[in-house]
Amino acid sequence: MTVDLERVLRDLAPRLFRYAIGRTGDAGLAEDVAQDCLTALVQRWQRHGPPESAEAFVFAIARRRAFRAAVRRRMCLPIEHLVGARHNGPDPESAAIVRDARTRALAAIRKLPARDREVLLLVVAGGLSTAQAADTLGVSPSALKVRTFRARQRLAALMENHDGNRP
Amino acid sequence: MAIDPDFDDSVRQALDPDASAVDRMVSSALERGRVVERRQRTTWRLALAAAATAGVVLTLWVLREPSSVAPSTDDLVLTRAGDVVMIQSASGETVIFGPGASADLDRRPGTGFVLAEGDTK
Repeated sequence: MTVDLERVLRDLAPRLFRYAIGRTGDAGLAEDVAQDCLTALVQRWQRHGPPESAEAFVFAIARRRAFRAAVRRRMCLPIEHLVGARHNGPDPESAAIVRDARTRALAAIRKLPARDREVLLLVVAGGLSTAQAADTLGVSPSALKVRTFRARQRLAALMENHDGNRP
Repeated sequence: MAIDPDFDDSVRQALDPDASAVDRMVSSALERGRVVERRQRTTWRLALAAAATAGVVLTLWVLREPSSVAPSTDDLVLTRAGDVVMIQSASGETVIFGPGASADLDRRPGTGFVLAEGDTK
């Protein structure tokens, strides 16, 4: 059971992180959110066995935690500016390109309307199936497909514009 | 507008955590889950022990020996005649309450009672 659980956690960790960083825009917060969700899954697993869908279970929690983390971040941002910018992880030169790509993607994601952003983060970043994402958001699968298509197009256009505007 | 078929992959790659972050998240979740589980198990054990103790105390209290001086009202007979009240037990002990003869005139209601004890058997 432990092996299974660890395999599931390893599969979910990057997906949750991608979703959470898209929501919060902060790698440290995203890691905290992902960790909280995974801890909740571990507890659920140990107490009652694996949930019917581990993905649905953790992403339902992730949505709430990410919302709270984003609100907290918005409230703490002025304080962070006063005491010095928050440093997220190591910054060797080799990671600069990755960070740059992340910054661009996050900037584009932030410009999306909230509904498009949520769909895109669940489906593209979180890797949920159409049915799972529709269930999580409480919409029909067909409505979700339309929304995802539109969100993808908007994000692609935003990223293209961003790249086009770069010096 | 046609979307690049690798579009989703490029978004995922941009947002991906590094390998060390994944390790950190997984190991921390497993560790925290275990700690919470241990704490909950301890809480359950304490709760069970408290419930068992309460059960034992309750059982002892219910099964305790009846008091040797159990009050009984069956063998007391209460008789009242005017200002005089007589309490008589089955064993013959009698207690009489009544107004004192000398305090008859200026006695306020409820005062000036005297007590007489005796055995009628």
